Amino acid sequence: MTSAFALKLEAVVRDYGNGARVGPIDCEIRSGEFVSLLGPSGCGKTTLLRSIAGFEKIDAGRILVEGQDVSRMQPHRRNIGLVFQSYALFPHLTVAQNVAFGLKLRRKLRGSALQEKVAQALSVVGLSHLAERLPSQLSGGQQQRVAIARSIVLDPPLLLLDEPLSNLDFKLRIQMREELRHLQRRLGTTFVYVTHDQTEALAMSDRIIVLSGGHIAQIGTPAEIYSRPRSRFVADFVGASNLLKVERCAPRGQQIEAFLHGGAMLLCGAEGAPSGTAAWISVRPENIRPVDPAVQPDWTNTFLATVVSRTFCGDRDEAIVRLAPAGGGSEIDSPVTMHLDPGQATQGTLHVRIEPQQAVLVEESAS
Amino acid sequence: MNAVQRFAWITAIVGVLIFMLLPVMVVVGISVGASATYDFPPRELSLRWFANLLHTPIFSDALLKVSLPLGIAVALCSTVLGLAAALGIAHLPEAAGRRLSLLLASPLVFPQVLLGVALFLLYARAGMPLTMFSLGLGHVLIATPYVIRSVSAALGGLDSRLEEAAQSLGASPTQALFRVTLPLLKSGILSGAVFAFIVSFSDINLAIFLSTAGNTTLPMQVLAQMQFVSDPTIAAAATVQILVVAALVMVVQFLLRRRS
Amino acid sequence: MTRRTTPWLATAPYALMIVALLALPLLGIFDLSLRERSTTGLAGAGFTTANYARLAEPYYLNIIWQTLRLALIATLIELVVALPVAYAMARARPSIKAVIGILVMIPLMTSVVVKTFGWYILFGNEGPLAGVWRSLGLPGGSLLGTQFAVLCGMVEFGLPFMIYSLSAAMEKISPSLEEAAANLGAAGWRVWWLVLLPLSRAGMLSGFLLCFGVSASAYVVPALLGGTRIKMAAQLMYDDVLVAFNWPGASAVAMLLLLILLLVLYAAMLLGKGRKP
Repeated sequence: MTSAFALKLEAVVRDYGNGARVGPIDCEIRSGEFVSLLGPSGCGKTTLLRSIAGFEKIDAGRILVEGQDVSRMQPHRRNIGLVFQSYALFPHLTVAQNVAFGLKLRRKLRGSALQEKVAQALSVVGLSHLAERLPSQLSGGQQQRVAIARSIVLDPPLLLLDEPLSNLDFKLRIQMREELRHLQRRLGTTFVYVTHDQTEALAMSDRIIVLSGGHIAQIGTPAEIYSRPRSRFVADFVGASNLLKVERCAPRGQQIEAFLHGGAMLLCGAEGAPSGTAAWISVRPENIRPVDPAVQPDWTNTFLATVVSRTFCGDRDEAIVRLAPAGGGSEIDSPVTMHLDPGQATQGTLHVRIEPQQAVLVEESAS
Repeated sequence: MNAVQRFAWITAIVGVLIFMLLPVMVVVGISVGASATYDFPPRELSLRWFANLLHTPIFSDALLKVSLPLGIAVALCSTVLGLAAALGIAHLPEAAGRRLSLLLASPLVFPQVLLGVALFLLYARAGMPLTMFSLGLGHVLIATPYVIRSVSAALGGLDSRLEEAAQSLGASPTQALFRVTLPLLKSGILSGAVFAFIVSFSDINLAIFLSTAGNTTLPMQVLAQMQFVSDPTIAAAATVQILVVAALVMVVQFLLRRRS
Repeated sequence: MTRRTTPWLATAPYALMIVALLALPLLGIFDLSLRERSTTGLAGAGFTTANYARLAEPYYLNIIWQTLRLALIATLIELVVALPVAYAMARARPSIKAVIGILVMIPLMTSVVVKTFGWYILFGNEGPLAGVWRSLGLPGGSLLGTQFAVLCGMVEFGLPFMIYSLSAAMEKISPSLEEAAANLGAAGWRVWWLVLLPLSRAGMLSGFLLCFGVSASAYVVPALLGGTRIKMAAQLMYDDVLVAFNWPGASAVAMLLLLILLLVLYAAMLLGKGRKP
């Protein structure tokens, strides 16, 4: 039975007993999608992944792979590919034998047909020339590719990847990101990718499922997650964000006036949380822009920034500043971070402005 | 560390090693001596006591009909029991595994003489005759912990996710065990088996109580004959014991080094 | 569910073996030690403490005292003598470590009968030591039956055990600790006193317990090297079981030995706990 959804989780719960639990988790992943499970350590993303693979049992709910309920199935029957964080290559087998492992078990292909399939998988990951090597003779990046080839050679409907890039060094990680993305596109296999690195998730995914404390905080495309976080956690975890505590809100036409402690007001866009549940304003550092006060039409969302400290970061300076409303009024309690040109000198104060669309109202928590 | 200190250090270590090997060297020395008295160091060398050994049934039988076959049988049984136990422990939750591990290692630290007495009395009470089998049971009891320790050490060096990886590729737990785990445990299993053999081959504390006229092991025979025999054939018998053990020890070291 | 129970099933055969061949016989010995002696069967019908009372007689007390004394001396000697070798095994580069490993393992695994035979020859009247002794014009010559001979045999037997216990503990001590100590001004023996020995305490304790147990229950060494003058507890058991056929008596000796070892173990654990930093 075919289904548009490669993976569907219905009210999946994993209860550890002592109060710790993951779920209930509900989500649908479409065929051919690259979805990341993103979250800090302990949020349950690895538990979820291992539950889908069958190495952890679930206490409630269902897991459906291409419409079929696999919740009670033993792991070796599920036909779901799994790439381990440590790659888990069989040290006593060559690269080719590792890749052939699953094929040999299925007994459907033999001899030259089997060898061909293995060769094909190896060429897809670019390792044909290393077929006879042992895993101990390979670099980290090469081992990882063998791990992937070993799973995809079986044409699984779903490939799970458990933080596969975390053991690689920085440059290699960036390179492998591209390659994995291209690979997924080429194969058309559905990838479910676990990571704690939000830049990775933003760069690679069609959609991101952000997890926190065992629950889904938000599901959306990378752009949605980044520009329109729904909760304080997501705003803070994905990308850097300044968070300003909201005391009360009042709608103004399509937009919302958000009042901070001390009376300062920020005009916020309508796509954020509604005025009833809004608790914080999230402003990304790059969205606090220096402006020339002379050409400002009005003082809405415009502030006088006093630089407290400044750190060189290569492509920009990160400055911690205190904001006071340009039209008068007391300073905002907490300092915020903004970006400055490394070359740009300031006398210690400058005018800045935040576009209403980029002042996003977020709730305290997602659920 | 200066040169004097280093010299003193090395002398101490070499001294201790020589002390530990001294009796072994004496026995070997006597066995290759031409003289019929216990002459150490030997003035003339000869292998005639080894030749004589082949014609001395009390020793050759003890070696070939008792100690060697018994050792092999014990090694096989201990390996099966120990392998199963080690694999079982590895798949248990940590705390339970540790406790069970300690329990299963108890025959290692239990005074062997006490064990010999205990088994003797057990067999007497149960009306069981003393045979190679009853002695073999005792040997398996004290030898299996060596297998468990050896296999567990090898298991510790394996990536715990390997069996899961095999299962994710479609292998049932049994297939994963046979195709992935066991091949990787080969050297651990083998060295454990060799240890088990040596334990049986060298045992005396159980043999003292559990031997009978027809089933006398080589160490037991050497002990029994020590007061009677007048020529160094007995030393040759003892040397054979040493050589077998030494050869096997080097086999084990080779296996263990290759693994790492 | 088989996935949960299979590991337990796998360990069951050997576990059952331990119960049947170790635990049960121990209970049997305990029971037997309280029975009357019998010339016909295993034991007489009634219960008695005579077997234990017998152990309070001077002959037996003396042997027990000898046993404990010699075992303690041997173990302490082993503790000191093993340190350099254990350190070498922990710190040497792999090729040297392998050689030392073989040289320690060979005496460890060779039968104690063979090794004691070597001492027997060495210390005997015809042995080389006696020859040297006599050439110096001194009377006698055989060292058999002396405490020295028995201690040599026991120390040589127990050393490999002690070396392995100590080196296992020392390997866990990072070499950078010794370097740090040196950097702070400690040299040579002070590094031992301040760093290595304190951190090896667990290994020293387990080595002590193991070697004490082994020495206290030794049979072959005192039997061959002790002559008529030195006798130890295991020989008592042997005599009672195979010579006098006094099985209840042997059981009492066994129980006493076991009790002593457990007490030593308990004392060592208290010592270990009390001194924890």
